[in-house]
Parts: sequence; C-alpha cells; structure tokens
Amino acid sequence: MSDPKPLSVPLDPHTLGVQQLFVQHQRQLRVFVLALTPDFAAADDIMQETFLEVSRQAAAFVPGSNFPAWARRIAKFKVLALSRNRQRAALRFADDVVEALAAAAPADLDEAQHDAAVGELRKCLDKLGPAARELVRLRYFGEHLPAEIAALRLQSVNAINVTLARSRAALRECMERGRRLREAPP
Amino acid sequence: MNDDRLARLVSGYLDGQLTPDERSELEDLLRRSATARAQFWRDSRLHALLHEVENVGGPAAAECRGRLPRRRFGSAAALLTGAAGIALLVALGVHYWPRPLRATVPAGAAHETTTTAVAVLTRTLNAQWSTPADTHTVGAALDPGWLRLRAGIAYLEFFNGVGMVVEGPAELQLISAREAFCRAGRLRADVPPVARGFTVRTPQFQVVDRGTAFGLYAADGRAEVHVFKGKVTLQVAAAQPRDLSGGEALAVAPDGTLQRIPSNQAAFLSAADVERQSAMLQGQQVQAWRDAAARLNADPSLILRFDFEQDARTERALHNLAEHRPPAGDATIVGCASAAGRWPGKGALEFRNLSDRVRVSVPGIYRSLSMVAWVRVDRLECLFNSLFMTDAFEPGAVHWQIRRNGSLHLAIAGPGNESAVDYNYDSPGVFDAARLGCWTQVAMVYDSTKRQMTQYVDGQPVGRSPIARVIPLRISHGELGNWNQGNSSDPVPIRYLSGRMDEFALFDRALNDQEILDLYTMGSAGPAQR
Repeated sequence: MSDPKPLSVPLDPHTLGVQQLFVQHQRQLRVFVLALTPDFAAADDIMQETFLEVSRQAAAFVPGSNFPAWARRIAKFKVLALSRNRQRAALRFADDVVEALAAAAPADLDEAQHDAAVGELRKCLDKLGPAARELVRLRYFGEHLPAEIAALRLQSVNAINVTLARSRAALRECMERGRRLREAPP
Repeated sequence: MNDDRLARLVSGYLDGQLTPDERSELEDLLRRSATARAQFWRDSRLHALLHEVENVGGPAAAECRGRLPRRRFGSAAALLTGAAGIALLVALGVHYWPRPLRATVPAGAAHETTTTAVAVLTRTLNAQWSTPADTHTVGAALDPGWLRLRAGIAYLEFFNGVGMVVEGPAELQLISAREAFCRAGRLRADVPPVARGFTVRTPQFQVVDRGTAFGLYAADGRAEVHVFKGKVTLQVAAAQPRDLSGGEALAVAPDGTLQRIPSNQAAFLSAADVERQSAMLQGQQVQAWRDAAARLNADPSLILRFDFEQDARTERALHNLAEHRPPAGDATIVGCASAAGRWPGKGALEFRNLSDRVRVSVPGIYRSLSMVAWVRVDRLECLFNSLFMTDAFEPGAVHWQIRRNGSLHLAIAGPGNESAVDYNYDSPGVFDAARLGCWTQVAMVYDSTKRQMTQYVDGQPVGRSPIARVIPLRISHGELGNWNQGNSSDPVPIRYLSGRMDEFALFDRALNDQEILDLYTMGSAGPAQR
C-alpha cells in the first residue's frame, strides 16, 4: 500500500492572483450560475468545478482583462457539460437557450452594488408577512422544494407555488421601490 | 406574450416544478423574446440573492470566506477574508472553492441558524418509546412536544438548568425551557437557583418551583407532589395557592380531595441513581457487544472490520478483524488522533485535518457490497464529506459520502468513459443540526440481485433506489474519512470527514434490513455519548 499523494503542487503567484479574483467575484458569479442551474446543490457543484477549471486555466487569463466575463464563460461550459448525464440534464435548459441567456446576462454588479442589493433585500424580507417569510425561509435556508414544503406545512403544492411566486413578486417590487428612492434626487 | 404566464413559468423553473411541456414552452419564450430573457434575469437574480441572504450573515459575515478546521487554527482563521484565506490555503496545499460561510455566522448577525429546542436528552435506561416515530436518541435536542415513554427511564436537562428524571410509563409534554406538562408518569426535578419558577402542570394541579428538588407522580386521575428540599408553590384548581416545604407531600385524588402524605424520596430515582444504574448496565452491554462482535468477525462474508480499539499512538496499522482474512489486509492510519468513542473506554479515530485518513486495500470485483459504520459527524465542512471512498474514478469505484446538505450520497463510477453521476444515489438530508455531534450508525447496501441500493441511518432505511444497471464494484485502494484522487497534479477537491469513526465493517454480500437493524441494536448497546 502506498502513501497517499501530497494533496497539491505549489502554486505560482499568477494562479494565486486568479484564484483571488474568483473569490472576489464569486457571489456575482453565483447569481449567473444559479440562473442557469436553479438547483442549489447542482449550482454548488458547478461553482466548485468552475473554481478548479479557473485554477487549471489560470495561465490563459490575461491580467487586466475582464475576469467576470472569462469566469462566466468557464461556468457556462460547466453548465453545458451537465448534459453528459440524463439525471442532471433535467436541471437546465437546452444548449441554445443556455447560450442565448448567457449572451443576454446583465453585467455583474460591483461589490458595493451587490452589497446594497443584498441589504435592500434584507429590509424587504422584514416587510413580508410571517407566513410568507417562513415560506421563503424554508425554500432558501432549508433548501426545500415546494413539494417538501407542502408536506411540512400540510398544504397543497399549488398553494405553496402560488405563495412563493407572490412573495418573490412582492420582494421584487419592494427592491425596485427602494432602488428608485435611493436614486431619486433629494 | 403573456407576462403572467412567463412569470409563472420562470417561477416554476426556479423551484424545479416544470413539466417537460412547460419547460419547452419556457424555452421557446426565451428563444423568441429579448424581453422574456430580461425578465428571466431579473427573476433569477432574486432567486440567487435570496439564497445568499438566507445563508450568510450580515455584512460582516459576508466577508467570511475561509472554512478551516477551527480547532487547529483558532477562531481567527475561521474569519479569514478572501485574499488571506487563499494564501493560507495555498500554504497548506489546499485547493477548493472557498464557499461563503453558512450557518456559523457571528453572534448577533441577523440570520443565524435557529433552534426551537428546550431540553436535551442526556441518558436513557432501557427506555422504550411508545411509537417508533416518538423515539428519541441520547444527545438529541428536544423540541417542545410530547415525550411518551412506555417503560424505562429518561434523564433530561432543560436548557435553564433543570435536571429531570422521568420514569415510564410517562407522558410528558415539554412546553418551554421552564415549563412542562405531565399527564402521567413519575418524575423528579432538581431545580438550581437560576431556574426558579420552573413549572410542572398536571391535569390536577400546577407546581411552581421556588428553588428545590421535588418529585411528582401522576396516573389515572391521581397525582402526588413530594418536596425533598426547598419549597414549591402548589396551585390546585381554583383554590388558594399553598406552599409546600422540604419533607412535605400532598396527594390529589381523582375527586379533587387533598390529603397530606409522608414525603417519600426513595420512591423517585435521582440523577445519581440513574448514573449508577447506567454504569452497571453499560458494563453488561459492552460485554454483550464484544460477544456479538466476536461472532461477527467470524462471518465468512466479512471482508473488513475495524473496531478502532487499539492504541493508534503506537500502532499505525489498523487491524482487520475479519477472521476469514480474504485478500484484504490491515489498513494504515495516516494522521488521525485517537479519541473517545460511543461509550467511555471505547476507542475511536478522529478525522479533523485535511490529511487525516485510513488507507485500505481490498482487491477483487464484487457483485454486491454492504458497509456499516459508526460515526460522529461534527461538521459538514465540505461539499462532499467522505465516509469511504475508492481512490480516483476507475470503473466500479465506490464513493460513499455525506453531502453538505446532510444527505447520504453513494456514487458508483460507470464503465468506460461514462460519468460517475449516472449511478448516483442520494438519501434525503439526514445529517441535520440535531444529528451533528451525535454517534450515528450509517450503512449502505448495494444489492445486485434485488437490483436495489439502500442507505440506512441508525438501523432504519432512509433511501432506497433501483439500480438501473448493475456495475461490478471495485475498491482496490480506498480510504475511510478522506479521498485520494490518485492521479495527476490536478487540484484535488477536499472531501475529508470532520468527525470520528469507531467501528467499520465491509461485507461482500447484501445485508438485509433486519441484519442492519441487528447491527445497530448490538452497536447502540452501550449508552451513547455525546
């Protein structure tokens, strides 16, 4: 029996720098990935694989060029690679739709804008009714699908779907209002 | 285009609810219309932001990106910011995606993991719960609700510090950390000064503690309260509350009449009594476990069995106890500190560093396999946390892991170039916050004859899937509690286990449900420890 291999080879400063960029942009990249694979566990896998691929291909990244666009391209290929097996292909759209959506994706927010959006969303969540708030919590913190929530709450799946959709619409409007207020002249 | 229809389809897509027809409909809308694509991005962005907000703490926590074994590096390392985190990871030779912290957000952050538990079950003696659904394991946090004990004894500690011995048959409803309702049963409560005001109600009366130890008995409409020391306030129906002091006792008959009776401390077991009995029982049970283990070691289908009882500080070859000594030999311990196992005196290995692992060698090709392990998972640090993993991804490789979401995950690598994920079996999430830190039996059975794959927790099946295509299983070289990717200098995803293991067995046949349950019963004989 041989000893286990060392876990890694040392990294050069350039690769290290590229990994740092990934860390800085990971929250925005995750928005992109979760849109193309809305399943949280699958999106985690894509992020993990994207990180490894970004590390492998670090030498190809030109410092000063557009890192988010480069990372998105790699993430998109990882999403397309999901089709290699049947179970997971169901988690995403057809190839041409993934391509069309990726091309139409709005540019990443910068870190401050992203933080502002997150802060705004927190405030809006506080304004939700308790039942809707709990539902959002089950869906996004508990990572339960509507069918599981329905079983937990003894409600129909349809009722859960409707309430979730309404809660998200309310949150979207609330954030939109907040943004308009922020940008309105004093 | 109908905006409502689009919104409904996108919502269904985000929640994994679309039928194939609806999916095609949504795809067509997105192909045709730039407006639809814009709306799609607006809605899916909210989906991602909601997940982020619900899983990461406030703005301070958003900076936390390192996930490292905290005991080794201290709490400061757990709060590494991105650049420093990466630098340290690289210094350690680690490559993985540093996912933002989840659940372990700093105190005071707006969105912490929450618990509704009010007490913890500390000890049981021959406890028989009324129904399987009512079963509680030692170490489990208890939410408000009923404890129904058909027989035996349970010792609980309320979060306010009250210790309570409950003797079955008993029906006790936990209401909060300071209140319980006893419909039937015999119980003794020891109430420290900080928990004054602790209240137990029965159908006949209410006892409010004033700093004391008291016993309470309720059955068939009759109830008694015995005060051993200190004082309680007793409220019977609408009568004036009255105080009872140490040495006093009162009985309430079904017709409501009150009667003074002698206080009888001997009729109620104390925590110390439970502890003594528990130690005695445990000695017998551990002996029973040893006897059963000796029979198990002689099972001809047993390929590997480790009981982790040897001293890992001096002996780094882990003895394979399977007597028929098939081709598999001893294993090798790499890293891994010695630790305490399921009961006092039981040996275990602790996995907590990135390099900790036990390397095994199992030549051969197998039609069916069963694995049974006793583990105490402390944290789910990684996306995948290894229980047992064959090196690399050779066809037939067996990868048994716990996912970050707490589900048991078995993956068999397919033949040729097919991706391993074609043969993935996931249980529902079973390692939730309440199970972390508790000793648990996990098992998997790959049954090529029945063409089904089953995973078990504490003797009970938690997930069963048909095997679409039987793959001959191959282990060759593998690891407990970690993974060796085996090839190339590619970055290696980190999949180490954060926790302990104190028993492991591998069989070259499919065990049935009853056999797994028997192994659980035999292994849980000693009172489980936190």
